[in-house]
Amino acid sequence: MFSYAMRRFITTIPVLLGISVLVFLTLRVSSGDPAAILGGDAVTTEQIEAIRQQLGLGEPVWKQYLLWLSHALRGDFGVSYYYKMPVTQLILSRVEPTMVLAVLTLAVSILIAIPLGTAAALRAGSIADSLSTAVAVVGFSVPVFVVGYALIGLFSIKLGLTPVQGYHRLSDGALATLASTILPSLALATVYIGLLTRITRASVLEVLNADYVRTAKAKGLMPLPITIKHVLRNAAAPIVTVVAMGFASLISGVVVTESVFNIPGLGRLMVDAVLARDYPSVQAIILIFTVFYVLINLLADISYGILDPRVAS
Amino acid sequence: MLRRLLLSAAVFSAVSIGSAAAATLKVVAHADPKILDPTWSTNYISRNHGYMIYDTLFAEDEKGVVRPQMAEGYTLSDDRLTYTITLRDGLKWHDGAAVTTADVVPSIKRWASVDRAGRALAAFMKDIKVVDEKTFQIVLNAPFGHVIEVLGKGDANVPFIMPARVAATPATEQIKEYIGSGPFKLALGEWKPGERIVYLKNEDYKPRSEPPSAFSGGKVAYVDRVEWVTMPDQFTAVNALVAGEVDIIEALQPDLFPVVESKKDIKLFQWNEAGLQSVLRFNHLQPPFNNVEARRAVMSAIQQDMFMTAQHGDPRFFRPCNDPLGCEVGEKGPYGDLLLKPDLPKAKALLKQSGYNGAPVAVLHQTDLISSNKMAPVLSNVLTNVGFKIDVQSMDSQTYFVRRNNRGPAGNGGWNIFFTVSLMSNVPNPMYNIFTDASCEKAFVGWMCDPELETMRRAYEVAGSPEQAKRIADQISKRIVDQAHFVPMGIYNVFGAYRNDRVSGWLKAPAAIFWNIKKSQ
Repeated sequence: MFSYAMRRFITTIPVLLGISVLVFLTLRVSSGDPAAILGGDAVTTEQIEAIRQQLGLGEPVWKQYLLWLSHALRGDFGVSYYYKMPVTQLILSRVEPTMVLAVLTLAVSILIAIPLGTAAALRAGSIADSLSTAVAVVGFSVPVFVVGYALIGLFSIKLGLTPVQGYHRLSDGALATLASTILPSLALATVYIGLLTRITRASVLEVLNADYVRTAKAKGLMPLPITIKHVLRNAAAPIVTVVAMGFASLISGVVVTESVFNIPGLGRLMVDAVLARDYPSVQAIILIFTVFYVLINLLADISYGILDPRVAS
Repeated sequence: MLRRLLLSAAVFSAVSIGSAAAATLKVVAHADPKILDPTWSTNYISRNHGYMIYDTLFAEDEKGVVRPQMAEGYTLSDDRLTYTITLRDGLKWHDGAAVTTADVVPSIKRWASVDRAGRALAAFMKDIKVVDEKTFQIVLNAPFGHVIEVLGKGDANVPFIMPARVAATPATEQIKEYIGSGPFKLALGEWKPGERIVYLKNEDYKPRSEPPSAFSGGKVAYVDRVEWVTMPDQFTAVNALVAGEVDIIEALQPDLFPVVESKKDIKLFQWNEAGLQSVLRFNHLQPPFNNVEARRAVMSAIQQDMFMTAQHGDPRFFRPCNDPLGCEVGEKGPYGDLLLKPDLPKAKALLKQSGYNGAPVAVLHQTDLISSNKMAPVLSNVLTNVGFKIDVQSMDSQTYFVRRNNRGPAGNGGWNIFFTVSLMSNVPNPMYNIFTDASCEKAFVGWMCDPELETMRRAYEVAGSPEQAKRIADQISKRIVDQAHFVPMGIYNVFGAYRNDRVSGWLKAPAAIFWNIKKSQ
C-alpha cells in the first residue's frame, strides 16, 4: 500500500508543474495590471511603470517563472503585492475557517444524508422515498446564498440565536467557532445532503439486490446488522468518492458562502487575489488547491482498499 | 430538549454579543485596507487609514476652510516668499517621542514628490528648512498663494506627517513602520488582511481646544478601540447592523436605503455633504474625440437626470450641475440648459461637422463599482440616437483601471469614453481637480491637451487673493465647457448608516472619520 501511495504521489509532480506553468502564463496574459491597481485611482503612467519595476514585472515571463519556481521549491511563495506579507503566512491565516467550515458541512451532510438515502433505498417506491427525492432535488437546486440569507433571517435576525456574520477562531473557544459556522455549514450542507442522499440511495439499492444480502436475510439476520455490515459497507465506495470530492471542492469553492457569512477563508482570499491581480497569492493558492485535490484523491483510493480488500489485492 | 435548545441559544447569543465590547466601535469599511501608506497610494481606504493614525499641519473644516491642526500658526514675510510655521505643544508620536520639525520637513518633501498639488508647491519651493525643534520655514522662489491650502489638503494624497525615519522612505516604496501622532494607534498585531484592521485610542494625543469640524479642531477619541471590518456583501453588512453586530456601515449602496430607513434604531447619515461629482472622460488622443465638435456633440445630447436616475435611483440622493467645477447646493450651474435638457438636432449637426467616420466608439463599462456602473448602457442609447456607433465594453473594475491607461486606438486595447467620479471637495479647485489637468501626455487619463487652459491653471496657482482665484476658476470652467474637455454628469451623495440607539457624534467630512464618536454602554 505504501509503495502504491508513493507511486501515485510521484506521478503528481508533473501535474503540479504543468498547473504552475499554466497558472503563471494565464495570469500574465489576462487583462489587468497589478501595478495600475496598486497605484490607485489617480496614479500616473510613470508611477505605474515604477511600481512594475519594483514588483519585478519588467523581466521576461520565463525569467519571472524560473525565479518563482526556484523559490517555491524551497517553500517560499513570495510576498503578496498588496499586504506586503509572505503569501504562506497569508494563506495559513485563512486555512482554519475554511477547514472548519468544510469539516462541519461534511459532518452535517453525512449525518443527515446517509440515513436518509439508506432509508429511501430500503423503502424504494414509497411516499418516504419520493419525499427524500424531493428534499434532495430542492437541496441541490436552491442556490446556497438564498438558503444562507433565509437562515440568517430566521436564526440571526428573527430569533437572535446565532451571529449574522464573522468567524471566531478555535482559539476563541470551540463553542464560539461553532456559533459562527453553524449557519454557513447548514447552508452549504443543503447541496451535499441532496447529492449524498441520491448517491447513497442508488448505491444501497444496487447492493440490496445482491446475492450475499439475500443470503444474510435467509440466515435470519436482523435488518439493522444486514444494513450496516453487508449493505452500507459494500455500497461505500461511491459514497466515499463523493464525500472526498465534496471535501476538496468545499476547500476551494466556498466563495459565495464565505461572502454571505463574511468568513475570511481561502475562497475569499482567492477571489480577492484574482481581482487584485496579486500574482504571488493566486499562484500559491492554486498550487495548494491542486496538491489538496491530489491528496484527497489519493486518500479516497487508499480507502477503497480498506473498504474492499479485493481492490487492495 | 426545549430547555437544552434555549440554553444553547443563550450561549450562542452570548458568544456573539461578547465579541463586541462596549467601548469598541465596529465599522464596516468601504474597502479592505490593503496598503497602509497613504502617501504611496491614492486609494481612499489608505487615505482614511491615514486620518486614523496620522495628523496634518493644517486641515479643512466642514466648510472647506483650512485651519491650523498640528501647527500653532504661521507667519508670512512681507515679500510673500517665506512661510514660518510653528508646531503646537504636546505633539507626540505613538512611541512616546516628541514630534519635531525634523520629522515635518522630510514628510512634506516625500508627499510633495508624489502629490499633484504637492508638486505644484514643490515647483515654487526654493527651500524648506528647520529653524528649531518647533519652527520650520518654507522659502519660495516666487509668490504662491496656496501654500497653507495645499498643506491642509483633505483628499488623497493628504500631507500626513510621519516620523523622520519613516518619511525617509523613498516615495516610490511603501513605508514599513506605521507610527503616527494621530488620535488612534494602529494595532498592527491584530491586523488580519481581508478581515479586519484595529485601531486603539491614543491616550497621549493632545486634541486642539476648538470644537471638531471635519478634519480640523479637537480630535477626541471617545472609544477605546475602532475595528474596521471587511464585509464583501452589503446585504450581510445591513443584517449585521440590524442584529447589532456592527455599529456603522461607512458607505451604503442606494438600493439598500429603504431597508435601513425602515428600521427605527438605524439612521442614514450623509457624512460627505458636498458629495461626489460624476464625470464622463474622453480620450483626447484618439478619434473621434480628438475633435472638439465630436465632444460637443456628446455634451449636447446628455441629460444628467437620466444618467443619475439610472445610477442612484431616488432623486433625493443626487442633483444636476452643469459647471465642471461644481455647484453650491440648490444651484444648477451657469450654462443654461446645457446637460440639463438635451438638444439632439444640435448634437447631430455637431457630429456631422466633426467628420465622424462611423468607427465604433469604445465605452469602458466597469460593472462592479456602484459609483458609475450603470451609466455606460444609458450613454450607449443616447449616443446611438445621435448617430455614433457605440461599443460598450463591460469589465470588472480592476481591468477597467488598467484599460483606461492604454493610450492606443480603441481597436488596439484602447478606449474612447469612460465614467469616473471625484470628491466634490476637490472639484472647485483647479489645482486639486485632476480632471482639469490639460498638460497633454502628463495629464490624467484622457490626456487633455490645451496650453491655454494650462496657462489659466498656472495663473490660478499664483493668484494673489481668493477673489482673483475665483475669477480665474470661472474662466477655467468656461474654457472646459467651450472645448467640451470632459462632461460633468451631476453630483450625488454618499450615505453611511449607523445604530442611532448607541452611536452619536459622527462628524461630517469629505472622508469617513471616527474621532468624536461616542458609543453608549
